[in-house]
Amino acid sequence: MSSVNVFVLSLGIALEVCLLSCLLRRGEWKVYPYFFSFALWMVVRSISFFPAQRLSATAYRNFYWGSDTVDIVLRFLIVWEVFRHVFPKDSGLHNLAAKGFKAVAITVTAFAVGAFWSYETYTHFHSVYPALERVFGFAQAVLILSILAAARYYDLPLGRNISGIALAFGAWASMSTANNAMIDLRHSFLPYWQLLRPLSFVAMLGMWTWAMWSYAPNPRIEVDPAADPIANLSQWTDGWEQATSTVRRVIHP
Amino acid sequence: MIALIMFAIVGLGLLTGFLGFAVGFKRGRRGALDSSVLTAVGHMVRLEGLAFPNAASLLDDSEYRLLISNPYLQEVAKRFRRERQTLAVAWISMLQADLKTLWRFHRFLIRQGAPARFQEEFQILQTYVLSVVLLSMFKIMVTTGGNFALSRSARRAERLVGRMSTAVANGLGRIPQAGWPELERSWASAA
Repeated sequence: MSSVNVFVLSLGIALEVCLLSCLLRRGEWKVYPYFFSFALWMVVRSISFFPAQRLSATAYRNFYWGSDTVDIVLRFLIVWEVFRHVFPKDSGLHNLAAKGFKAVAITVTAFAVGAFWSYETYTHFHSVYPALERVFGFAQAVLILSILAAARYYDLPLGRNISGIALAFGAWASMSTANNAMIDLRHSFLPYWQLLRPLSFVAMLGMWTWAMWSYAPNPRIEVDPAADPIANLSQWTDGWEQATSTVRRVIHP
Repeated sequence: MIALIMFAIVGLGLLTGFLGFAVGFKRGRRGALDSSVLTAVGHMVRLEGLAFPNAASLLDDSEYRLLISNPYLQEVAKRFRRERQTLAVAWISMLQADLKTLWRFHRFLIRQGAPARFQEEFQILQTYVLSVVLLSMFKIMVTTGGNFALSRSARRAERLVGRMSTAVANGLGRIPQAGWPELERSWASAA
């Protein structure tokens, strides 16, 4: 392992430990249990790389990619964590969002599985792991982007914690998709792509640590108690009826 | 190969999308508070484009044809046409504003807990996008080519807006009446 790789790995572990301590110090792990589980997994996996280097090259490669495959699957925990905080069960939007989320999830998963199967039909031989990374990275990025788009559509306020987790993960998953496609596309830039992946991962960890540094959950929608509700609602209802009947009159004179 | 290029492009596109969201989050909250689109309830009750009583006659060319048929009134007819054109453009702008208000108000209702179906939401979004595109095209056509030849298209555009208004009214109807005062307060505070 080169000194650059050791530095990036050490920086990554330091950030992972920092993130874990942020989650533990005020009991935020109870609020974000799925995210915490993933953070714990990251720390265990990263630390286990040091003793794993004593293994043979083949055994180390199998360990690396085997744990990476588990990592790919566990990343869906982050997607779920973001979803359950943006559309909590007590929110009126939960059922509607859950249906939309299911539809998007089924579509992108079917696409990802199809794209993964088709990797064998490429002209040249390509590694199975970048294929796995890019198709599931794509699916995760699309899911996160859909959640954020739905939140924006309904003007839902997002706190620093969830927006930080979602944006950093989404950006990283997108970059991972593009990066893993480029790795297979042309091998001449392989050393750069190989460096980009851990660096972008460290950047994501840095953003997660910043996001979780203080407890900032999604704010609730504010209600102004000073408004005169009955008069305003009555006025609005009258105007609404007037507007719809005008449309009907114009269309059917 | 094509799949790889596609994934590379899509990955970069998604990355751009997330960067856009990151920028939007910083601006978004301030923008939402200052937004003039989430108008006060007083504006909600008067959707100006829809409330305009003579929209059909605005696009009707019978008076113009009457004037232009008289050689002495051709100048008057031309002026009449220009004025009607200006009015038609203003009316379309009002319709667009109404459409946007209705759309935002519908989202507001759903956020406040009005039950909605996914398919219905999708349909409203589809109608909104189609209406905006149609009205924008219509506005350009009226600005460049005059308003009298397009009366049928105008009626179609208005029908789309009408569909939006009915959908939003249905959304409000599904909220229990007991919840209306709280809904009203939230709408006023959002404005």
